[in-house]
Amino acid sequence: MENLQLIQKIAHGSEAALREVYGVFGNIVFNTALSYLRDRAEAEEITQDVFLEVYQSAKTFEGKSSVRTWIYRITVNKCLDKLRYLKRKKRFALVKSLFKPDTTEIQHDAEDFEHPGITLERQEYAKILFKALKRLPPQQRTAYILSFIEELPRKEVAEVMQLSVKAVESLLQRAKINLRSTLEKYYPDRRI
Amino acid sequence: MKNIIQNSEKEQWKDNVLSSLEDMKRTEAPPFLFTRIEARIRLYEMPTHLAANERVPVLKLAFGVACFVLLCGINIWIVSQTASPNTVQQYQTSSAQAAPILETADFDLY
Repeated sequence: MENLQLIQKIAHGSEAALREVYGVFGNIVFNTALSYLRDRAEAEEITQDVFLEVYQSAKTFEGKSSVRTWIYRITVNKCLDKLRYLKRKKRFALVKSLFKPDTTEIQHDAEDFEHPGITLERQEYAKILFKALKRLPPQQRTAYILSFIEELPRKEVAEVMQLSVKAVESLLQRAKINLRSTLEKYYPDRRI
Repeated sequence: MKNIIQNSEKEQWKDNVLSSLEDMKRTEAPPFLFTRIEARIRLYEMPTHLAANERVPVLKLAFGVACFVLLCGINIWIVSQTASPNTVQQYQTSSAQAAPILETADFDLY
């Protein structure tokens, strides 16, 4: 069955149709969330949120973009919201720890996140890249993740981000420059 | 010469890092994740459940009530202060006390 028909069925409350959509896009959503959040538990939560949102807003889906683009857009927005929330929470926990030094609430970043889909010999490099990606501004990070990790064509990235293809190209260009300058700091000093 | 070699090594290292995600395989989502999504849908469809955009956050509500109470309190206090007979009497007394001083001041030219 076509994705659009499935969305129409979901709009009428069909959970079977939602299961089918999950079958097609579940892994895509989970992997995108994993690239943003670098934490399996958080990625699982985002996947749940995304499919709940699909179920709730299927009625409002007008079909102007493809179902895949729509689901990607929901995922990206949920991930960015979550990152903002985690940042706020971390800041609050830090302030709280000044008054209560024995608090264990400070959130630690998943600095040593190992993506399960990467080969062992590239794992060390990938860890550094994920660490550097975290430092990019949200739009550049989104463009980079969708283009180079999710391997979407530029046109689709532009649709997901609701920008022009040129704007996406420019974001990618800046992302690469910023990544290179961030990597400068992580370069291991081999003279020692 | 040494610097050039070091720089090219560094650039090579950066290229390796940037290409480390190429040919990355997709990870499988946990097997029972959809069951959890279904459970959340059940919760959402419960008659007592309000959609996220219809819900009023407790903190915002408490803040609103606190602001309202504070505003009312300040208003009541100001009204009671201006309307109380003590204030009028106090005003009259203070003006009466001020009169002799003025009188003295009138004759005390040097």
